[in-house]
Amino acid sequence: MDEKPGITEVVKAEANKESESNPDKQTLLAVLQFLKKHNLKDTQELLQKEAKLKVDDDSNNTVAQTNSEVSAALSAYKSEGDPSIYEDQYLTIREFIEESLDTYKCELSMLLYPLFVHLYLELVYNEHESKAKRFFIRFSAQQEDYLQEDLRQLRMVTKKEHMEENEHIMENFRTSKYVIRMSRDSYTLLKRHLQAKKKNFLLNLIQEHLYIDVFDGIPRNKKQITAVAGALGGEARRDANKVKVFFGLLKEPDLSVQLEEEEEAADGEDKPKKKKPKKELFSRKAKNDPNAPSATRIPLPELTDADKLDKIHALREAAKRVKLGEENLPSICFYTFANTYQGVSSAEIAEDSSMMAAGFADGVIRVWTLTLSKLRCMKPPSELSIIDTEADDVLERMMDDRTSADVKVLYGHSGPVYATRFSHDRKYLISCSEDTMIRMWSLLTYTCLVCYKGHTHPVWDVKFSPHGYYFASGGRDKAARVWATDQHQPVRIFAGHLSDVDCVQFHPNSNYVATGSSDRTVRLWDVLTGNCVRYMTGHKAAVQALCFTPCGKMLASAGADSLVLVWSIQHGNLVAQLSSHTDTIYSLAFSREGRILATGGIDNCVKLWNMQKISENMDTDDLALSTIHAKVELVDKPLASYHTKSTPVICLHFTRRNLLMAAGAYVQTTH
Amino acid sequence: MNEERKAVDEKSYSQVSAQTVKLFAEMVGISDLPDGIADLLAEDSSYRLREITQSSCQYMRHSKRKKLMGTDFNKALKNSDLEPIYGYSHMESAKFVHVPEVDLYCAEDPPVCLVTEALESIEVKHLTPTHVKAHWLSVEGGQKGNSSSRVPSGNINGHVQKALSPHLLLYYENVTNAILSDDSEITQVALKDLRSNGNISSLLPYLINFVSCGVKAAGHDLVRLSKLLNVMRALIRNAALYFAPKPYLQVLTQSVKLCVVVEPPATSTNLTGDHWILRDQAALLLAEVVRRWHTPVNRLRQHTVKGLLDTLRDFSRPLPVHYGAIMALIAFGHETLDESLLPFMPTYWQYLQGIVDDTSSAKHEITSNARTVYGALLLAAEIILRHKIKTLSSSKLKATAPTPLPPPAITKNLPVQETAHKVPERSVTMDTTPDTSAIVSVKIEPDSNPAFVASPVVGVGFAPLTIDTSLAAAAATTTMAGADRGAGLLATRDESADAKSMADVYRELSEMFGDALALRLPVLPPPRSRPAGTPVDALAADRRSGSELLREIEKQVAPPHEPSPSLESYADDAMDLAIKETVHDPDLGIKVTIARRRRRTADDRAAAAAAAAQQRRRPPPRSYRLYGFDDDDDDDGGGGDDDAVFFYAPRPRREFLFNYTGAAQRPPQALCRGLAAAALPQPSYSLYQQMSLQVAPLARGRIRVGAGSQRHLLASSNLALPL
Repeated sequence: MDEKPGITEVVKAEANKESESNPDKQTLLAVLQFLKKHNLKDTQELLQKEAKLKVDDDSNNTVAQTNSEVSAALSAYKSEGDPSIYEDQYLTIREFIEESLDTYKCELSMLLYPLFVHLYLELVYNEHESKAKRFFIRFSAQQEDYLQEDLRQLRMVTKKEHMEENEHIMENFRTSKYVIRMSRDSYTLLKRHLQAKKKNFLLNLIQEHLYIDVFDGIPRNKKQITAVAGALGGEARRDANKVKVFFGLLKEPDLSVQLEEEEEAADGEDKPKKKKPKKELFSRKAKNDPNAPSATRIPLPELTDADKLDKIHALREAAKRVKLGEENLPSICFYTFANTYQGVSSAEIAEDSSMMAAGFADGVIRVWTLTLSKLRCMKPPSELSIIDTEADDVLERMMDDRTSADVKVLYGHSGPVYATRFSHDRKYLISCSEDTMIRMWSLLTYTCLVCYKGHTHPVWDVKFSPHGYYFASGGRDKAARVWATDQHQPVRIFAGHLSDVDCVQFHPNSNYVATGSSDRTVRLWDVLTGNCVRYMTGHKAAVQALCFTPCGKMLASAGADSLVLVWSIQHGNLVAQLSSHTDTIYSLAFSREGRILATGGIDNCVKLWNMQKISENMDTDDLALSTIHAKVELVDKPLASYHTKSTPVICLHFTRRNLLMAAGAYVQTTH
Repeated sequence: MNEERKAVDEKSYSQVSAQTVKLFAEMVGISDLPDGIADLLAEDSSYRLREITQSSCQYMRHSKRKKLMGTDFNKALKNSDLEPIYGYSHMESAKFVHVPEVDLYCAEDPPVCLVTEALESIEVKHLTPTHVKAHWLSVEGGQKGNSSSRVPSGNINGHVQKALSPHLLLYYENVTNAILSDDSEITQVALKDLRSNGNISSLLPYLINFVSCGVKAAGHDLVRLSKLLNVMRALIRNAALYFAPKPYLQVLTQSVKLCVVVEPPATSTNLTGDHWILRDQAALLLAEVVRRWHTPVNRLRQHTVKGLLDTLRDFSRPLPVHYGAIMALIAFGHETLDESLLPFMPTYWQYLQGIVDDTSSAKHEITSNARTVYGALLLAAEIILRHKIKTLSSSKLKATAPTPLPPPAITKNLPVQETAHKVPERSVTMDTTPDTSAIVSVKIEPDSNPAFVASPVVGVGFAPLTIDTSLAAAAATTTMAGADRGAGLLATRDESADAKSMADVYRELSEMFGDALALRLPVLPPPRSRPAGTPVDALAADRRSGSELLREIEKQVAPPHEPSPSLESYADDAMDLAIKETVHDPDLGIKVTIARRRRRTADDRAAAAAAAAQQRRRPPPRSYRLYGFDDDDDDDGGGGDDDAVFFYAPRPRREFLFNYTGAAQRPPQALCRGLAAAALPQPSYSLYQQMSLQVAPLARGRIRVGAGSQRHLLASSNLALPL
């Protein structure tokens, strides 16, 4: 009976007849399969002996023709039940839920969606197509709005063969059990009802496919539930967010020695004034932050001289920073790409705001300079050899002025470039593309240096670590990888998402990587151990952008559901929900001291939000945050909102002095 | 089952049909593909197409675009190890041409002569290179140009802390002045700008404040109220404004509701009729607002409906207020009506009856208002029942019945709508299932009695689906529909909430409205409500089939193009119409004909049906349609003449026709511009008496469909008007 499904109906009919003639054999085999699956060897052998069946018979009847592993999972759906009871079962449980008290109703109604899906899939698997369709039509409209996208995908699956091939469905509902969090009262109510009415069918279904995480406390209301609902696999379990996360910043290296030298070089009169603010900055970081990881937790490269100079320069800039706040909004400089024919797929501004890189749909990367100094290539080796390496301005002499230009073009990718990132020292540019490669380019010679091959599917995002040397990438293969620039293989692979990883982001201390995915969850991974330490649900559509606050305590995520969710890293719970955008949000940026969040998206709008209140709230009630009933702040009025006429905002960047830069490609509406 | 699947699939997905598969097979060389295989292939290819489309959307999303391009699709194909489709470039979109014969759009595929192409001098299209331009989007919080985009903090009540930029204030001043001005052009410009301007989101609190204060202060000034209503409409339709923040939505809905329930001015002026228009417009706008901004969290719909019901329950409010509330509930749709209005109807009916029956001439203003309300209730009842019938008809029928339902055939006196389909000469029995799901399956049997017996269940648009009154009464004993209970379960909305079975609802409503509903169909009116003087001929006449009736009536009624406004007597004519005036409004595409009709009946209830607003189907241009006339089959010439005006604008997806009630000398242009109340025909006053009743004048008439109208299938009743 290994025919391919659906070729001839005749053969199918024969097969059916065969199986019908041995109903008992079928049942026994099913039982044997079940025992085998649950490793009940003794019982299995006993049954085999008594029933005089061979184990080999199993493979003929119960294993599907194509993929045995898949079908083993699918055989969980096999049921001998009468198809017409499915609708009744669903109706009865729904009635029960609707009649229950309001306090429990919201929590219990979380059950409806997974039950609906599993009942539907059972009907499909057991090939009751018309009943499945009817079941779907009848009950799908009553599910929540944010689940309708999923339901549309589910609706495509109408045959058993579809189930086997559709990765989406199989991943979500095969391996992981759907997690629902319920208060103890609601749970006991449910259990009592199911047991009292002897609804074994539903009980089995719940036990098989759902995981109900019970907590002690008041049942949640609709608002609280909706805030964290929406993920593909249900909510986070209690123990998912319990690991300690070191969210503090790394201790800054001691630069005071260098600093004094610099001071002497600068204006002598301003010495006393300048010294003071510098010392303050350092003294703050000298204290040991209990939440900060040790500097050697993950190996980071040593600071070179150039890096130290860079840091000092950065600190000096920081001192001149504009203090932003509610009263004082930043100025926004907008860079518009013209004549792109909808080809710009990514844009990025360097950390010191001197350069901008854009990736295009034809695989080309262009680098622009944003300052007055032009981009220059390094001289060819023949000329380099004659330079005096001891001279002070050797770095200047190295550059070939003949090649100076405003724009440099980098060729190499063969598919749309989905992300381009500058390294922290602006010597390298890393880019990822649809052709599954990650390329590293040198910004001194404007040529490609390395091509990292590891992904087998398009890579959607790549990010450099703030301290350099590491970079993380996430792609369609549902895994995020961390690479080191000098190794051809990734050093870590983070697997756990149920759908493609759409965006990645490093924590300011480089010890953690956050990933946002199309399964509507945000996960935080530990670079050292490779484990997922935080699992945050609440988005109602794919997550497209992630950004950590400069202090490292909070993470902001935004996506296709036009919501910005702010999470507290410490406990992994939702702190605030900012809603005002009307379409997908692609870019997020925190101001340098973390008081203002800028968001931009495809609705052609840049919005500024006030983070002060939110972070204050977070600091005060530390204890309350650890409970499930933490208050979520719903903000729907941004501080300001700026419209461009027809330019989606795909990149936002605060300069060191808190000037906001934004970039986007002008979309020509020709109708 | 196949039809069911097809119907369902068509709603949500496009499908590859087996026919297409066969055509493809022929192209490849396989001439004789068996049906079974074609079906399987079609299904499979539909599934694959959907899957590929899903994955190509991911590529589009990561390219930060909203437009799905051919390249995305090709990449998805590549990802699934399939060959890409060549010929679709990234930058150009394919040109499509319309093929009128089959009403399809297909890609242009012009033949290219390679020789000429090669010999021509090659002109390479130089694409301008991508370049970057920088500009200041905002300087220290202020946006360059008119508006400051800063959202002012503070209460909506006007205590805003921040000052707006002078540009913005100036804009606000100008816009408000423009709106309140009398010059309609300026107002139009201002409204247009409010609708499309993306930068005024910071002005939103001011504008909402302006509107809400204006509404409260305007009181009975209808002109001002309608202006403010237009402002609200423009704001709602502005895509850049976000109304979710707390006070905006509440204030806005409150203001709209105030317009709906504004009290009519005490004195009767020429423009009195317009307060009906205002209510209708406000009702539509309210429904639009709630539809767009309702979320399960703010529960806007529930609050609004509750507020409207409270207004309705408050019997101390004047009747036009009730009318407004009912119209707003109607605008929400049939579900809201089912849930909220239906249970309340009996109570309200009692109250209304008391007023309607009071025919003392001293209060004819109130009684005519009451008739208007009655008409609105009738409309609501019709919508409820129509929806029920629709769910019935789309469910599994026991016998073959044509779906979609054909339009009604009407009594010889009523205007006839064209039947789009053949009228089955059968009667339909309704069986109701007693279970909570309230599924009704419609059983159509060959009728032993060729008479068109129908019961007043179905509204306009359901003619051949006539339901035997007696049978329906029998059905009220709730016989099971024979076959499986699950048969008719295609209702998308579970009707378990609606405890009443179809028959109960119908019975209840027919008790209230009686012939009003009945007169949608050519029927024997139910025995108890049959007016005493109904001549037998009328009954006999109804035994004709719908199409016969239609043809007859069409022959009888004269085309409305008659230029002469003479009062030709149509005494023999069942219609008894006299064309007075024809008005053509090219802007709105409306043609309005005012005709006088001679009323003949003195029986209110029998005459009730005509006046109610009905939904009308778009007939083809040739013929014209008459609507909602009362049952004139009764005796006595007598009675005054009424004027009727219908309002119609082609091309909206759903339309409504409202009867205007207006005195004869009202200028037709004024009537063109809005909806008006449905009203009952008045008792038999003389013409002069009627003309003197300025307060709630009635008018009925005919309308001629504009030339550009399209065939319009039976849509569910909806108050959406192309305003």
